[in-house]
Amino acid sequence: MASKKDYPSMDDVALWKAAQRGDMRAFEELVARHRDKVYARAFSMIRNEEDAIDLSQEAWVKAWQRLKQFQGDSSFLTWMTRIVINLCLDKLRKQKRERAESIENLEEESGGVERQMPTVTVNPTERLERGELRQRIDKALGQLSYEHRTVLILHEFEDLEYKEIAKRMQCSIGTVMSRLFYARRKMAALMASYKREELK
Amino acid sequence: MNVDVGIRLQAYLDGELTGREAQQVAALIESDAGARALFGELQQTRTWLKSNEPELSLPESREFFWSKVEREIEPLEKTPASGGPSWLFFLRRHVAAVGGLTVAAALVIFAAVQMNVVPTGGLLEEIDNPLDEVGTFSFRSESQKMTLVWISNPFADAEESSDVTPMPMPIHLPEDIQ
Repeated sequence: MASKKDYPSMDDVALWKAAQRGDMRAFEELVARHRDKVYARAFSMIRNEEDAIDLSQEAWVKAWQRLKQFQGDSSFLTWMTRIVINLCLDKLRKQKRERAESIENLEEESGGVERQMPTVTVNPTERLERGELRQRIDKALGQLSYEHRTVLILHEFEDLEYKEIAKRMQCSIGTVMSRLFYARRKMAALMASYKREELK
Repeated sequence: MNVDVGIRLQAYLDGELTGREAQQVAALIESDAGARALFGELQQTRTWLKSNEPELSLPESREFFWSKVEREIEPLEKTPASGGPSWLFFLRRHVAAVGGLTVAAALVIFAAVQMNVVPTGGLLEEIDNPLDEVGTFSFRSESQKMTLVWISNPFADAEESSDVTPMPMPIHLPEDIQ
């Protein structure tokens, strides 16, 4: 019966509802449809290909286990992204505990180099192509500390408010505001510093 | 530029300020060139990021990745997403646990009763050890090749008379066990 369904033509809602009833083919279609986005979110946070693959796989397994809890309050992709973000945050916290006191923390407490950074003036004549801009963003994100990167991702890519970010990162709203401020300033400085040749 | 001012500029940019606070920051941006420049930088960075999230593809084929996920979820198929009614799942899970506890409790009670730990109200009779109350002594005659064992029960004797008279009960034991 289930094999007669035309899964690729079904929308996400029909697919997750079928998957809730135990239809694994429907779930497979959801995995195929959204696996790149889930992986991209994991990679943007973790910055390691192998870990990002493992975490996105774990996220899909968790999603299957919790599928009955999903009521459709958000889109299926948003729900999936939240699952992988939580897994990434758990992993990053574990990694941080395992590390010794890092220089990043010292920088954050004292304001680091960002405190003295001059304001970056945007050159309106420099019109970057979309692909090049994305390359710069990706490179700059990779150079941020995990706290700064995470807060940027949650705010700019996931559209979460300060309060929600604080909850997920288990810190105060003040810390979120401070991290976001320094992350943006550092990001602006890094983006401006890259020359075209460096990206090729 | 003061960091606190920078953070307020950012909160204004992100729409996290309301009413009077927002008006104050707007006025600052109007009047202060440094604040204006910093606000412009924050705004530009936000715009870049909002619309240019790096795109990535999972570096594994659809089939291979799914086979890994499937291998993990197949053993779970019968529990969370089996499609059966949730009350049935609840019953299966909880009745099994309660049933197990009941059997375990019954076994404990049974064992306790067997060991005479729990009073049973006459179900089991107290076991009397008559040997505690019985006096015995023996006599052996080598010439007659005979052993005589005397057994006396003081309670039985007391019931019949106040005189405790041992009742001889001759037992002839074979030679090989003597």
